[in-house]
Amino acid sequence: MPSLNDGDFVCAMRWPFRWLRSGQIVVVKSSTYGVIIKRVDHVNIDGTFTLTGDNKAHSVSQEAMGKFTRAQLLGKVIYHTSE
Amino acid sequence: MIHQLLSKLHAVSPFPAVSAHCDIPCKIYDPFSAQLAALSVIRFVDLLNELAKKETLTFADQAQMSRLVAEKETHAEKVKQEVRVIWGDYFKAPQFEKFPDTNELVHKIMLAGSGCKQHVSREKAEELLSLVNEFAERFWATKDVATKKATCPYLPSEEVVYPDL
Repeated sequence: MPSLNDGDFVCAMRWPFRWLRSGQIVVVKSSTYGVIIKRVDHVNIDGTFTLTGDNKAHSVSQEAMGKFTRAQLLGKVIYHTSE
Repeated sequence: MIHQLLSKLHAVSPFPAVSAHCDIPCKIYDPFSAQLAALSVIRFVDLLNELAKKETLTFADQAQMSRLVAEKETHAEKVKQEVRVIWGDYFKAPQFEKFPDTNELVHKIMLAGSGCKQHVSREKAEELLSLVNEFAERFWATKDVATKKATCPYLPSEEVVYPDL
């Protein structure tokens, strides 16, 4: 899945937590940042996961975003289109 | 083609938007929030100094003093935060090339901010505003926006750098 640009459209599907894998692009509800779209960095056994941004120079850091729970996973991006 | 179709649909009935970059919406930066916070610090110092003139402080005075000290702390921290965000997110190689001593100025602002937290000092608060004004002037210069200086139309009635739009 390519990196995203401003103005792109994505289609996200509700996704079972057990199918979550590193590298997938997901839509997540963050209490600090609102609804965000990021790449899954690591999935933990305890039911939490961390995210990362493709734009390493400017993305909010993993530490700032923190750990997310399965309840915060809104969906996985299954389709993406750019101009 | 699908993108065009989706764009048309989006114009009629907007899809929910999600953010990939979680900071301030791209390109909206303004040093004015830092300048306002610095003005507030001066104001709190003035109000604290008025209380300091009293021979004895009533209970109400002491409560007021607590509030003023707390707000001075919060607003000095806000100056540091607002400046840090512009320095960290907006300033990039071209801006640093134009103003190579920006890091030094930002560090001075950080130190001045801390100084304002630690002390009740008009001098330190004025110094903070002066440095933030310099930072603001520089910020607008990177956007080729001319600036002007004017006295803000409210207490503490200090000189503030405004963009000449």
